[in-house]
Amino acid sequence: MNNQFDISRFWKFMKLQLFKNRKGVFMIMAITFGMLFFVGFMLSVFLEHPEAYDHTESYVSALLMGGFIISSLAFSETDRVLKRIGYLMLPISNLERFICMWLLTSIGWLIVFTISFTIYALIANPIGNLIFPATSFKVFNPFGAIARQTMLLYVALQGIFLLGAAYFRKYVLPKTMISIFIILGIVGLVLYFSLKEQFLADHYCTTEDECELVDAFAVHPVWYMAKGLFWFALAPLTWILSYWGLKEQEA
Amino acid sequence: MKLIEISDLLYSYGSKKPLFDQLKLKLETGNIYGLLGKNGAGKSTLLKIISGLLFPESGDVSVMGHRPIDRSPSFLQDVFLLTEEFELPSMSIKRYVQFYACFYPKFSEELFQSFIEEFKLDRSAELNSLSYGQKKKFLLSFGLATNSQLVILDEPTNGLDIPSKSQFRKVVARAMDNDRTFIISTHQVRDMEGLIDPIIILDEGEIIFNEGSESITKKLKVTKSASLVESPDMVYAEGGFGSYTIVSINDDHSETNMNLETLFNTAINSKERIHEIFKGDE
Repeated sequence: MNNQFDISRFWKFMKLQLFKNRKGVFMIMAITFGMLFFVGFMLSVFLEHPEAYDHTESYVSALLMGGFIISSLAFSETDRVLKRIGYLMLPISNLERFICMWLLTSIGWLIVFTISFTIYALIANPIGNLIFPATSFKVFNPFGAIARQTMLLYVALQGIFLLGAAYFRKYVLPKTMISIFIILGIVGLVLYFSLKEQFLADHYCTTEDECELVDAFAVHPVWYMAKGLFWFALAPLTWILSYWGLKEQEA
Repeated sequence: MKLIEISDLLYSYGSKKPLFDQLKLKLETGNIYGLLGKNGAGKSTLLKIISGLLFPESGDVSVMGHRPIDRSPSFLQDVFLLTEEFELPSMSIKRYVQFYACFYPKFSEELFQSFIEEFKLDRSAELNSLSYGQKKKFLLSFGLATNSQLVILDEPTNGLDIPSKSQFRKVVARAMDNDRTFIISTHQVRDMEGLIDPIIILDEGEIIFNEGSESITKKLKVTKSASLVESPDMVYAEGGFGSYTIVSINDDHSETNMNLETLFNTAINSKERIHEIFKGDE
């Protein structure tokens, strides 16, 4: 028997997780699409009377927010000791536990949400046309540049919330958000104080459009490094740390 | 065959004084071990360490040849832990079996059916609608039906009514075979009378007693006396209802039955003497 990964065991675990979380996922989807339709769609068109309405902005915010909430709940069975005992005693490896929840909350969420959103947009547009004939409603393209970029952004950032789910118990989402702000604040301060001499001495903004300071920073090696770390290292790092967090769980 | 081997175990909660320091324990296959101890003696902690739910600071813990802290599926398939308090998912018994039994390759549907019939549980019942005792009976039925080699029961009779306690004994005795081992931790020693053997007594993080009934009967005898007469052979005495129960060294090879409560009190109150009497068996 493979003690690390067994596809049949993994599939059984995934079925169990889908069954156990079906109500929670349904609730999140219902709330998300309810808010999107009534607040993001109807109310915004009613108040702003735009000439054209594009769903992309709603897609971006709902995909990210919904995904972060779902990722924060990935290991909610470890929140309480009694639940944790049942969860940790189930004959399944930590790797299978992690991959299952990673798949469901990253790729799974991306696919399910994008398909649901496309269907939602197809239903919402004719309704919008009926109620607001002066506004034209654009067809949502799930393969458009912004949608694709958002998906990549989600994959890069989602691991942070999975990491929060593996280490924090209860109120995972707010705790993760606070941690992100603290870390970003510290990193920002360190970068500011370590680079300010170099930038403020050599660069300045001439006009609003031609800011040498911003341009210079955009070609600085630190910026390249930060971009590289964000797109290629952040996600794998958070996945590995989440796996370790799960492995180190005690009851 | 050695099922559990623990050596030099060190475990403490946070920065507190270690609960276990250099703890050693060896358990063999094919027994129903009774783990007795006062509140806070470390019984549940020890069971959690054996199950891989708590990680020791140092020392070796081997259970069926596995390191419990790895929590490998092949280890977990062969261990069933029923804790005193538990939380069950919101689904019916039928669904639970459908989704959870597949993780245990030796799970027996027939055995499970016979146990829930014994406990008069309805398969279509929602787990969250069951009483605490019924939930416990369900989990016990499921755990025994997994046919796992090691079954750990922490206070299994707490919350069970009187008829259920005898059903419990019947079911455990039925599920027992030579390849299986039970560790039953309990305060309710009377519920376990005649079921658990050997007896392990844990006190202040130390195993002070680990003996089978044969060895106990051979080395200790229990007598009742109207008055207490001190003698060098006397290990422990306790008074009650106008007579004394006296535990002494069994030098005349008499066969007496000592109840678990008396044995427990003897081991706790006369640690040194008990250690001396049984040290040859270690």
